[in-house]
Amino acid sequence: MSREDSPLVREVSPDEGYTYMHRAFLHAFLTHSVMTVDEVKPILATVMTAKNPDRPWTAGDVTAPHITSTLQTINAKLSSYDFEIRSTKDQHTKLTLYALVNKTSDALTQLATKFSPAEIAYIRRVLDAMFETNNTHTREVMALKHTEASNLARPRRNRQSQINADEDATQTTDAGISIPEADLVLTSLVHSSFLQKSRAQYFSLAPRALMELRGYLKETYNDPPFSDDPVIRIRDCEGCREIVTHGIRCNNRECGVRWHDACASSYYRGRGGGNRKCPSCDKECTGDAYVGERADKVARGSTGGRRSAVEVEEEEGSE
Amino acid sequence: MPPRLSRRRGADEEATPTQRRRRDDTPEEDEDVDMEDDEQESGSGSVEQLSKGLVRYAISCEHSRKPIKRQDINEKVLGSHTRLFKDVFSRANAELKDVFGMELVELPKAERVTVRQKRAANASESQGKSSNLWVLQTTLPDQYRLPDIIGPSRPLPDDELNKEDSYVGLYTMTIALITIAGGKIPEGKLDRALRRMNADQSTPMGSKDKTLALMAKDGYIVAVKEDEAVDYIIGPRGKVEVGHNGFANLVRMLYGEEQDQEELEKRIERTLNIADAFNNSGVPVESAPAASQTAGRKRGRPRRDEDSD
Ligand SMILES: [Zn+2]
Ligand SMILES: [Zn+2]
Repeated sequence: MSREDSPLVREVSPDEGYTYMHRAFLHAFLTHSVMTVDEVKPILATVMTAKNPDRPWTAGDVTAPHITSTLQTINAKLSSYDFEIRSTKDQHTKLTLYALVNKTSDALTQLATKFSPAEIAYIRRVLDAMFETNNTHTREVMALKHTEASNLARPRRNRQSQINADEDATQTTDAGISIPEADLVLTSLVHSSFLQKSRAQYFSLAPRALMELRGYLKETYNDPPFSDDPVIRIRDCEGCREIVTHGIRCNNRECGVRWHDACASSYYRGRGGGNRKCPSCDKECTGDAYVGERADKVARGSTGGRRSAVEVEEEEGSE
Repeated sequence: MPPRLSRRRGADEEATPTQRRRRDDTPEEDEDVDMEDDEQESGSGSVEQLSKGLVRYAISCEHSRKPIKRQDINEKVLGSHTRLFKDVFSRANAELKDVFGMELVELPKAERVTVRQKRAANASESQGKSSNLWVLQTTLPDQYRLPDIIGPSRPLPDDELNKEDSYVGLYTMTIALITIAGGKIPEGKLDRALRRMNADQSTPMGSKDKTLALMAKDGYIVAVKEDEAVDYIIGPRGKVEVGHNGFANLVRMLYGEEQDQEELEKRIERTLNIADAFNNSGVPVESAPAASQTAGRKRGRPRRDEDSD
């Protein structure tokens, strides 16, 4: 599908400035909340063709540097509005994804245009359950079963103090929402690529939400870095430095090293056969200490899944 | 999203280690936005800063396709600076155009459609009053207004029906049906048309009635009840958002390839003129024969483009 002539000849130079082609490309990011690189290419080809119909582009003409330089031009315009088109790798499919994200750390408030305060309080309870209740020192599940999510429709009394401090006193008597309402919120979050539901029926944060909530999650669930013995619930991958909510952890429970599956594979493959030592603590990596929903399976001890002695022992450790 | 970009750094850093912190300000790596001073938080804002806030707010609302209310702009963007509304609004709109290729367009005021409403309106005419409701509309030149760019978004990969898109398709089609019928369509006729689109019983949004109610609530259509009969007309939002272009594009897409182009454009124009005459006068007009014929041959699915990969 590639054309004969070299696409390099028509590389867009940044000094061409900000044109309708950029605006149209940006439009596509408002229309599609998240796009893979294979979806981005034909769109960029389309806007290039619309810009100059005499020189039609095909998706095959679009190169990675071309995407990058176009996004740079757009991001320069967006930065003063705290928006950015970011890219990330999907932790499951390993595909490169692009999305227009809100750079401010409390991106959750953005949901205020779509959800009521009671619904937003519910979303916060879902996040709390993902990143606290289901993300302990010993069980880093970071995902929720549908029933668990439904059970959060009504807030528990003793957790009232944790409702967003921004909301005034009247909000703290939040009665919650009904289970059908909660289901609608979840469905809508899946549709807007904020949550994803796995084949095993776990809800977890979708790539788009991870890109957008990066700052919020760390700020909310990690202790400040210089405090004594900080609790760190959200960790980055040793390989790519993006948040890990699905991957593996170092077999040493006290070690902070986390990996995406693919990042660990390529790291250890690079070091050759026998060497499986953690780059931080030297512990041998067996590749079955999980982060994400697989950690739930192992620790809850249902059938299947290898259970190491450590993990059986860990079961008691949960809050 | 707090459009008043306020930032307190270090002020509450003495929080106990285990205490969670939830703030709407951020210690992120991007220092370049840190241009506002502490007074920002108490509401002192320049037109420049407030405009950026309005741009952010407008883009966020776009995601939930909610019209923007004057009152919300005051509360969520302007704070104590409501008197700057005009300046902030025009600056924000210029920036929206420049950066996003969009602008805020005010929705027409809700119409008085029934005889009774019209009488009441004539009695106490409050003309010239604006609706104080805006929606974002694209300002891209026509050649860029393609489904992949301005929507609807493509369906979710796992065969799951994308509600949002079906909704866009359905309200666009409903508005087109009303336009073709001359600006006003009786309930029964709309039902029949929806049946042909397999949307009579249930749609991804729920039952047909629920879907129509949702369209009415969102301002795409208005149900007019008079003497037991229910008619549908195009709502304020439908006029602005789908409008002439949306209708024309839909018809071109459905019939474009196989029709005599010139004749098709003429028909589109004729149909729109008749619908306009109805919309402007409020007086029902006989439906357009030429266009109705076209409608009779309608088939296939509403606006959806699947040739992307
Ligand atoms: Zn990684
Ligand atoms: Zn280690």
